[in-house]
Amino acid sequence: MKLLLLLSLLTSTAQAFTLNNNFGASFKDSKVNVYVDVQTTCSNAGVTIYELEDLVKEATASYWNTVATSSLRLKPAGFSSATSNISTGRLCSATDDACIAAAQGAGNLIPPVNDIVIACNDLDANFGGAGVLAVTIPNKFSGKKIAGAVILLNNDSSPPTNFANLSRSDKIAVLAHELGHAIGLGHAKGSEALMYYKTVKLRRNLSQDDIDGVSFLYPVTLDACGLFATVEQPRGGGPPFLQMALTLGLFVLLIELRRLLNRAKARTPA
Amino acid sequence: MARAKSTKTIEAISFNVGPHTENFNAVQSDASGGKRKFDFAPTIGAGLLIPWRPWDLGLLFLPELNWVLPQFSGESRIVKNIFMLRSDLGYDVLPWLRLRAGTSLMWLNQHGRGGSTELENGNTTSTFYYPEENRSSLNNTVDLGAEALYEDFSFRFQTYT
Repeated sequence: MKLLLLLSLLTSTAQAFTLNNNFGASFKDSKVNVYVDVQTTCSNAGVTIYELEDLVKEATASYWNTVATSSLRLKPAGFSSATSNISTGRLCSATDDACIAAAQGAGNLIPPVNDIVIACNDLDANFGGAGVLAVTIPNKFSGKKIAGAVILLNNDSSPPTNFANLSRSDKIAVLAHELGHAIGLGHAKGSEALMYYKTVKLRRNLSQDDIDGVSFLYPVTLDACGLFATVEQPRGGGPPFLQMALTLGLFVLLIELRRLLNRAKARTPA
Repeated sequence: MARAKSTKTIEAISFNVGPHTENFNAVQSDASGGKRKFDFAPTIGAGLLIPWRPWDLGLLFLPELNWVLPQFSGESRIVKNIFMLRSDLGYDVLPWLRLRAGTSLMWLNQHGRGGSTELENGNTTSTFYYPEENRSSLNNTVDLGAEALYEDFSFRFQTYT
């Protein structure tokens, strides 16, 4: 037992995933639609809504949809109908009564949405500076489940947003990071994590903390018949039939080879 | 490494210890885009060696139970365990070389002990939370492996997809 504990200590890691709420909230359905608001304009952010739609597709495919131990599948769903105030209004957490009251008083509260809606927004109060590239708040809950989240890209012109100066891969990473918040994740301590609070030199993949986090919030479970659940592999395009066929073929080949060798031995005179 | 002992109805019982790597070459490990190749996550297990008698093909049935020892993160706020119930078929291509193929049920369990931490968020800091419950993921994997045999010991390399 002492040896096992010692071995366990050798695997300790300093980093971990966190959540953006204290009750482990996640979307009820692990297949979540991601929309771009049809009326949003992102002129200062340096993208058109069609480019934004493409970036969303890459962000979902390259990051969150690649995790085999998670049932989450983000589905780029094109353009949503216009959400009032989404391009100029104030985004408030569902529990921030002061923010909600002030925004309602000003008539610019962004209402709760269903699924995930992405838009560009130029209200400085949402971002607090050009260095904040985007903000995300799950602003609709159904009990302890997330029902909707809004992602706002900084489209402010005064001061001008830094989003426009990012490379394409960095824009994709920023969107993927915000999608992480939308599905319930908080920040991570380590700079290798997508959920690290700022952009880094080169972001290509999820870190183990990101993978652990999305696997925790959206685990793969047994189906109703109690059979094993196999999550489709987006990169491979489905169950590994080819690999299984090759494995079976290899076995058949080896068995035949052994038969031939045995036969050859039997024929060889002593 | 595995050490085998003979019994009457089961040809051998084996015990194994080794490192386990999740998501080989697919996980970012630093801020410069580097990817993690190998990880040291100690794994222990026990298995059986049962001759596969039907068709007399020389196959071996190799059921096994493996446990990737607990991994702690977030100041030990999150504990992760991985269990694998494995069923491989093996074939001794050479007296010292065994090929294996099969399937596993992989059970990933994460237990959160709750709590919170302050982390940077834009130009300020915010409170983020550690989970306070236990959740598990179950996956099937397709496994391939090769094992070098020497007397009662062996060295194995195995992949899980």
